This record gives sequence, structure tokens and C-alpha cells, in this order.
Amino acid sequence: MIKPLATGLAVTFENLFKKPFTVQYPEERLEMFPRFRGLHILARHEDGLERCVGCELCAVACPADAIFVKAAENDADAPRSHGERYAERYEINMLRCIFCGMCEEACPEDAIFLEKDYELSDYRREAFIYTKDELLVGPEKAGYLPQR
Amino acid sequence: MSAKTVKVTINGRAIAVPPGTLLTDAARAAEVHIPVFCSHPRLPPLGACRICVVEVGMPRRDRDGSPVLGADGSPEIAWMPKPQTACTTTVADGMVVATESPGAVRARKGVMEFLLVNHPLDCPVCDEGGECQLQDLAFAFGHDFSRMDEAKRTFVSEDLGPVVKKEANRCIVCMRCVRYCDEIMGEDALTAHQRGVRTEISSFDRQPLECEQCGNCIEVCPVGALTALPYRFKARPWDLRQHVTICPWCSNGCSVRLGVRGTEILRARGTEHRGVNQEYLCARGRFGYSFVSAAERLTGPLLRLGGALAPAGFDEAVAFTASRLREIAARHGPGSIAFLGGEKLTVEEQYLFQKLARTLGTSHVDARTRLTAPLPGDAILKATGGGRPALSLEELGSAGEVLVLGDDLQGEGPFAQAVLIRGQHQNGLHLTVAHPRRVKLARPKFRGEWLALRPGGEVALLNALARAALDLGEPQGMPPGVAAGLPALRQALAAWTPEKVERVTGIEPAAVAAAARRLRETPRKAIVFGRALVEHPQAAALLQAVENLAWLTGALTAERSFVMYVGPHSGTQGALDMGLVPDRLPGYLDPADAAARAPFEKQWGVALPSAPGMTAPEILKAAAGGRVRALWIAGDNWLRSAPDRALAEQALAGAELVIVSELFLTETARAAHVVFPAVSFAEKEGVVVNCERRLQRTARALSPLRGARTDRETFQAVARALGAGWSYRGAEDVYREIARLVPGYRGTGWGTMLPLGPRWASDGAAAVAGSLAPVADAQAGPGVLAGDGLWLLSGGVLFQQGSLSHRVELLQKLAKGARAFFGAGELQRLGLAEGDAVVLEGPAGSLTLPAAVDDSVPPGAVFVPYAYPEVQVNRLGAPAGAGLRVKARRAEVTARVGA
Repeated sequence: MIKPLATGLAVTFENLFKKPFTVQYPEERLEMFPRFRGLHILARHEDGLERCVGCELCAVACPADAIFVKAAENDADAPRSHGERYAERYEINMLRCIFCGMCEEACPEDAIFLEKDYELSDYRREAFIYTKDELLVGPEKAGYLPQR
Repeated sequence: MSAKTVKVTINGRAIAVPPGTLLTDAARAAEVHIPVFCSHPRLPPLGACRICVVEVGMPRRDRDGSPVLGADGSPEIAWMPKPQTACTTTVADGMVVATESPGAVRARKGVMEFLLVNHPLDCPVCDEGGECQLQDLAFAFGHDFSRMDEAKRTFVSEDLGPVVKKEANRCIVCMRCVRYCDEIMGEDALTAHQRGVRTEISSFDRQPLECEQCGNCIEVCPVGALTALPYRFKARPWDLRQHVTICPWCSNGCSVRLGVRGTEILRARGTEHRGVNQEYLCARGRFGYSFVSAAERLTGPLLRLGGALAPAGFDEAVAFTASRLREIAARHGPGSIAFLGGEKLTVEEQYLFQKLARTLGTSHVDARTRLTAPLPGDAILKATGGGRPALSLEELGSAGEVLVLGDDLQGEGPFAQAVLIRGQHQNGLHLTVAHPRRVKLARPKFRGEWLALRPGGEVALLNALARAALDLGEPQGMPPGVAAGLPALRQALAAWTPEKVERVTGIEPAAVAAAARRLRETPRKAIVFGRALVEHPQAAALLQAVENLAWLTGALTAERSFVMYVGPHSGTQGALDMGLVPDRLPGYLDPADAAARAPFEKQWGVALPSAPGMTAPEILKAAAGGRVRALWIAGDNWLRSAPDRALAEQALAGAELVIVSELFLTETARAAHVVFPAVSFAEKEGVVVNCERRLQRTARALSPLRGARTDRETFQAVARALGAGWSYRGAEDVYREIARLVPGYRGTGWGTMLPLGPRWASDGAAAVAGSLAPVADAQAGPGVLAGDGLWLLSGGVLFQQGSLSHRVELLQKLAKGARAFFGAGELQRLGLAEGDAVVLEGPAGSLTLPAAVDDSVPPGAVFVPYAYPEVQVNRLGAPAGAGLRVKARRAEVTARVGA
């Protein structure tokens, strides 16, 4: 009887002196693993043009039907993407999204990635429809591709 | 007929098919899939793409002809040394085909690798992606890697005009587009430049296409080499809800597949294996859908209570309409109310429109607003065989000899024209085109004769043809009632000597005699006519003359009819069938006949007027004279369609109540007291009847525009407000009543009536008895021919059709501006140059248009297409007798602005 009690208390004492696992969110934040799937980004080429060409393969691959894409033709003088076509509208409904990553897998242009941001909350449902402005990375991140 | 068949074994499945069957078709019958690119069911085999390669063998035979048996006792097969293209190989008895043998699979993979050598990997940006045959077959049969490291050959992409985008890099040179353009469109607009790997499809001069802009090259392209500019990057095929419905633009009744994303129609396509037209669509059908979502659509009723039209609630407008109609009927009698238009409605709406009129007690109901002279309601049915099984478009294409009377089918029935051109190339069809202008079908490249008819010579030409046909011997196959008229006709036709006919029509007697001989002696023949005869001032005489000619040449027999009327609108035939004429009830029943009236009176619960009402031209005069106080105009821009605009304006100004049901606030709607917003073809269900009398149901692709109501709902609401107990819950309810009451429609079911529905024919005897009767020409005197001024030729054109096409930006662009067309000589004689403003003066008014040269216009005439928004041909005055003459002069420059 003494032995099991001692064994149990040993675990207790051992943990008393260990560093706690608990993270003091939001003061402290964990670094996510490389293949963690959070909020999407739309990437840019090195020259700053959008990688997305509006082919809608992400939308058709999406099992939750969360993505809406409307393509349009590039203005040859001020193109938005390489080639003739770009996404005029690109919207993801984050209330529907199941963060499965199929869009990323389907994308032939390496344009969409699920990134590390998981802090998705708001007071209005409409706010969860992320538009292209919110998803597209800034020009300072031109050429950035997440490590996989 | 004993069906001769040959036995073929495909992948071990033995089937029997008729000799001459292509292996691809035999494989389809054996449920074996052979991939194809260049092969197309409407085009002759070519064997360009080689993807359909299969291994073919025949049983080996020894010297005495008996099959050599192998070790196991089965016949030994001698395989051909190389794989064969299935799309060009015809079956032979005993043939053995392997599509999945290692040799065939290797050959197909090889072909696919070659096809992909220069094909760019730009599927993500290509509009064909998702419905591309090359993509599908590469996925099914190709390698998943490419051995090609070399640079791909590249071309510059081009816009071939406003509808076709060409990306030659994607082209696999199957030649479908070039062949379709030649064989079915007769346009020869596309060609292949260069040879071998450098082959590039383009227009001959590499300039934008000056063709019919039908977009069928896009439709048949198996890859994304030709794509539609109006649909460019609009959507992916999987985004679209597809709705197969019936095209609203003419009376051919083509099936059209609308692709809808959200609440917008993004494209229209053919239906591949369904409908009368299959993949074919004309420029209007393929690119003319955008009026449905035009911003100017009416979204609520308008009511003129004070001076101006103001928005009103639907119930308010209905109550107002009903109370005013009741008031006018009580004060002036129901005969002071007239119902006009309805040629663009569905059969159900047409039925309710005339039911509403007749329930009110008036017979003044006529859909044929363009008529220039009264015409019996059954005249067109009588001329087309009185309800005998009618000529189908398919039969038209396989006829040996076709007489096209007075109409430019390019504008009036583009699919009928395509059928004739395909018949020319594939069935040896011969054409006789009687038209004052050298229209497309009359061009020398088509096998046929052009009877260059002088305007005003229509009756004379038909009489001359009848006389020449009669000279060839006694006509056969006429029922006794018709044959009784022969002696009188023979006597009357004797007056039409060849010399007299040549004087009146300007056509050589030999050409007339030859045309009559061809029509009489060719076994399969057809006569096609359209609005040019029906809207002619001598329409009744002309339709009788057509019927005479048809009986005498055998185009009409006691059993069948080979005469087709290609009307101006999708609902033209339906309007006639549904009794939107003043002298016939639905089903061409005579209202004077109490027995014919009885079922309707019983069903509708009212006593129907037995006397015929006024026809459209009579209503026009009566309304202008103040005898018609109330007018209901449904789906018809009457100010443009009435033969005399001045009279129509007077009528609208003078009427106490004008009700207009329309999609848009047209000129006519602006003059109305009540405007009901209607819905377009894409937003309602119903049945339409095409020119071959085929009943086809339209599908609802979109929900109706908010605020707009179908005409069925409007008519029913007004009828209920007037005290009639109508309670149709939908179009199907209305159709059920039609199928119960209307002869010819009896027994047809709405539920099964999809595109390519049944064709109605009168049960048993003809609905209208035929006749042979002498036809006098009211205008054949020398006075008409010696008259002063130019003959005004008007007619339909491909890119303009009326108030709907005015709201389609692309069609406006294709149609270019309105012009007055003269022959080069005529323009010179007038002292004008191309582009000069020319004033055309008619008896009632004038019209100023830029002059243009068109060598298809004969001397002494000017051609003004009527459907342009800025052209109001009926301002010039109503045609009298044989037509209208106008004077042309240069427009004076009255004021100069600036220095």
C-alpha cells in the first residue's frame, strides 16, 4: 500500500518542479507546426503580381463549398496576374470552411495556402466571408511561399 | 424492306449493323467507347486527328473462300498490319475490331502524346477547361508525364471579330470549325493556313470575320482553340446550372441550353444530341440572351391616372384595367374592345389571351399585327396542307428540290437556312429561290436557281409556275374536293402567257418552266414561304397561289404536306393554332358553327360571339377612326409593327384605354394607360409551336424578375376581376384545358413535352379543306410597273429582330447602324455616294438614312431592313396593292454647326 502511494506522489512531485505546458494566451502564443492549417493566404509572385489566375479549381475541390471565385480578363497594360485571367472576386466563407487544405492541394498555381493564423472571431456572420483584399498578402510579401 | 445487315465483332461483342456504318457508330451501338475529336455526326468523316485508331481484322480465307480455322476451331483473324481510324472505316461482314488490345492502346497513347506535343498546359486559364474533350481524353488515355523537352510552337492569339477568340496554340487541327463553316453555314469564313505542325486556323485574310457570327465554330471546337468572347472568363462549366429551353428568336424552335450562374444567364449553347437543331445556334440564339437581364426591364405595373405613367401595385393596375374594360364594354359594347399581338407568347398565354377577349364578348383579336390586308385565320394552315402531317426541318434538309418564296431565310429562319445548306452539301439538294434580292441562298456558290423576281410580280410568278406545272401533265394525288377546282384554274391560268409573266416579273419564261419542271419531277420536294407573302397586300391571293402550285406539283397530296411557313416569331404558329385570329376559335374551329362553339361555351361558361371580328389592319383603321375604344396589346411594339405608323399613333392617342403587356417600356408602352410587366422566355414555362408544328416546352431557367408577372398571371387576374372564375394554378393547368378542347392538340401531355416534342397534325381528315382556285392579280396592269420611284424592299436581317434585339448590346454592334441599301448602279444614278444621307419619301412620310451599296439589291429598288431601332419603315405609309414605292433624294444640309 505504501509503494503505490509513493509511486503516485512521485509523479506529483516530479511535475511540481516541471515547467508547465499551459500557455498564457493571448500574452503567450505557440509557434504552429509547418503543416498547420489556419486562415488562407493568396500569394504573390516575386514581381508582385498575384499568383491566382481565377481557375476555380479550389472552389470545385472544396468539400464544404466555401469558396467563390469570379474570374475576369487582365488589362494587358496593368495586369493583376501572369497570363490573361485573374480572380476578380475571391471569397472564402470561414464559417463553412473545414480547413481540410483541399484548395491548397488543388491549386495549380501555388496561389492559395493555409497559413498559421487561427484567430478567427467576429461579432457578425458577414465578417466571416473573407474577401480577396483580406486574403491576398501585401506587396511586401511578394514571392513568399510557406514552407511545407 | 428487308433490313440488310452485316455482323461485326467489337471487343468480343457481336452486333449487326447496316452496311456502310462507320466503325465509330457501330461501336456506339455495341456500347464500346471510341474517342473522337475530328469526327462529328453532322460532318462527313475526315480522319484528321487519329485518336480513334483501333485494330481491325477480317477472317482469313483460303483459296476457295472458306474461312481458315485456328487450332481451337474458331476462325483465324488476319489483322491489318497497322491500326485503322474508326471514324473513316466502314464495317464489313465478319470484321473484328479491338479497341482495348495492347496494340490499339499503345497506338492511342502515341497519338495522344503527339496531340499534346504543342498543346499548352494552360487549362487553368482556358475557358474550355472542365468541358474539354482533349482534357478528358488525356486524363483517360494519355501518359501522366511528357517526354517533350523542346519548346512548343507558338502562335499569337487573335480576336476573330466580336464573338470568336482564337488561341491557335491550343488547336489540334481537327478541322471541325472549317468544315462546319463550309458545309452547314455556307460561309467559308475559316481556313487552315500553312501545313503540318505550323497549321493555323484563321480567316482567309487574317482579318476579323465578316460572317454570320453564329459561333458554331466555337461550339464544335473540341478544345479551347476557339472560345466565345462574350463568355470569356465568365465562369467554369461546373458553376453553371444548365437549362434546356426553346430559343425565342424565330419560328424554327431550336433548343438552347442556358448556362445560369446565380441570377444571370452567362451563355447559351446548342444541345448536342437533343432538339431540332442539335449543336446549331445562330448569332441571335447564341449571343442574344442579355435582354433578359437588361436594366430597363419593367419591374412593376405602370398606370396613367393623371398625365404621366406612374408605378402602381399589381392589384391596383388589375382593378383599374378591369373596371375600365367593364365600363367601356357597357358604354360602347364589347365590339369596341380589341386585343392585338401575342406572337411572342407561349401557347398557354395565347390561349388565355383570346379566351379573355372572347369572354368579354369581342372577337376583335388578332396576333398578326403586321398584316397589310385582311387574311382569313386559316389561310396559312390551308396553304400548308390544312393540318396534314407537315414538313419537318429534317425532311427539308433531305429534299431534292426546294422552292424558297420571297423570304430571306438568313433573317427569318437561320436554322432553316442552315438545314438547306447542309442538304446542298450532303444530300444533293437543289434550290430555287424567288426573291427580288440576291439573298444568301440565291448566291451562285449554292446549287440552285435564283428567280430574280421584280417586286409586285409575286402573284404572276406563282401563277406562271402553276401554269408551267400544269403543262407537264395531269397532277396526281389530289383529293376529289381539290381536283374539282382544276378546270376553272386551268382556264384562268391560260391567261398567264409566258410573255405576260416575263413582262410583269422580269423572269425569263424558260427559267420559270425549268423551275416548275424540277419541282414537279423531283421526288422529294418542298416549298418554303414566310412573312413576305403573308404580309403582302395581296396575301390572300398569294397564299391561294402557293396552294395551287403545291397541289399541281405534288408538294401537297391527300396524305402529306411538303409546304412550310416560316413565320416571324417563336409563337407565330401557336397564335394561329390558339385562335388569336378574329374568325377562328382555337384549333381553327369556325365560330359560326354552333357545334364547334359548344365545347368552348360549356368549358368557359359564356356565350361566344358567332360573327367573325376584325383583322389587325381593320382594327387599326377602326381604332384610328374612333370605333375601337380599348386596345390590349400583348408583347408587340405596335407602333413599329402596324403597317401604317401614322394611323397607329392616331389610334393610340384616340383610344380611351390602352393596355400593354411588355418586357420593356417600348414606344407603344409609353402611349399606354396601363403597362403590365411581362417576363422573358427564360423565366416562364410553357409550350411553343415551331414552323414544323412541333410542340416543345420551355423550361424556367431563372425566377421571374421581382415585380414582373407572366402574362398568364396578368390575364387570369384581370379575368377574375371581371368576374370570370379562372383558377389555373400554372401553365400546365391551362395546357390541360387546351389538350381537352383543341383539335390537333388532343391527347398531348405537358409533362412529357420536352424539346423535340410531338408534332401536331389534324386527326383523320384535314382541319381545313384544300382547294384549287383561280388567283387574279390585282396589280398586274402595266400601270404598276410603270410607276414612279423606287420599290421599297424591306425584310428581316440576322442581327436585328425587334424590340428585344434592341436591348442586346452585342447584336446592336454586329448589326452596325441602319442603312438604306442600293445597288451600285442605282446609287450612281441618284448621284449619291456611299455614306451620304438619303431621304426616302413615301406617300405618308419620310425617312433619312445613310446610303450603302449592296449588290444584292436590284435596280429600281431600295432595301431598308425594318428591325433597326432607328428605322420606322411604317412611317413611309402603308403598302398598297403590290408594295410601296418611295422617292430617294440626297438629304439637304440645312444647318452647319461651327465654322
